Amino acid sequence: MNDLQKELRAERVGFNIEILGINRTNYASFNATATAGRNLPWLQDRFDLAVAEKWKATYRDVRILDPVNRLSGVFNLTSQNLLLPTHYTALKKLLLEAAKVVDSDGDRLPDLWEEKHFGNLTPGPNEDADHDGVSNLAEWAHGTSPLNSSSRPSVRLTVVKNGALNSLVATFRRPAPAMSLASYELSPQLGDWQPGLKRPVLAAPDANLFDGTGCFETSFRFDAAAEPGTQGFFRITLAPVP
Amino acid sequence: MNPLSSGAARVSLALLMAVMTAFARAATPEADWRLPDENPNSPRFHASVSPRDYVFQVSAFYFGSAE
Repeated sequence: MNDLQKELRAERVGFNIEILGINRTNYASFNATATAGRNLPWLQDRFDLAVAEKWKATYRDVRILDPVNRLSGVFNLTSQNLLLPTHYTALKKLLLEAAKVVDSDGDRLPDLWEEKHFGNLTPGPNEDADHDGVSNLAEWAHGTSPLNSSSRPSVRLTVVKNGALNSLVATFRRPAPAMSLASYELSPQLGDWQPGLKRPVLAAPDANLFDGTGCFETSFRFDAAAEPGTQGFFRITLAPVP
Repeated sequence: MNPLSSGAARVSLALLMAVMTAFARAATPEADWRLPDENPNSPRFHASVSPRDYVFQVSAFYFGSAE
């Protein structure tokens, strides 16, 4: 399962996929053995919670939840052996199917996101349901609420020492689908944008926020923009990884 | 009554109930809970983990044992 998680991280999927393990209630003393050399979260079921019973899980079930936590599939590792390539591929396919982003009205807003916030697929990407000046599309792209005007996208800017120079680090939220830097432009006065010569680099690995929005935190470091005497503006465009 | 058709009807009813059960399960989110991450190698070690943390992501929960 640990290897499968690594493989899934390397693939371009719609919604991010996370694998976790839950230990049976009376086997807690062996947790160290189970986690050795593995980095997946390992949870210990408790008699008072009885998660396995609550979820009707049988021993060695892999229970797959879709992006709104509905059961999407069950794969039992006793009846199906992950060491067999066909079974391994079958589980991987189940996970990738669950992670597909469905946008049936083609408005770039995932159906599940529209249904969760609006109960239907009617809202358009350029509409601003909560009148906070941020379009529904931008609200989705930053994991903010389209129905709460105090929930708005933000970028945190910090200056960090980078050798003899200072660098500017911009940190912001983005949804789980893999995004890459599509363009980086500079302008002295918010007009006549020109491509920047020194592209920003990732300041740290993307961090999953696990806050129920499916968002990650991304930090880009701008070296050229923070050179002494440099004044102006920059803008970046992120696009899904092709 | 034709015993064959009666048997078929029972099988159909059982199938229908199974489909309805599957549909009912899939239509509503699974029950929520919170448990700490016990794996010192995990990035979420000691964090209180809930299925709710994984909304808008796909999560796969392996019900194993550490035996």
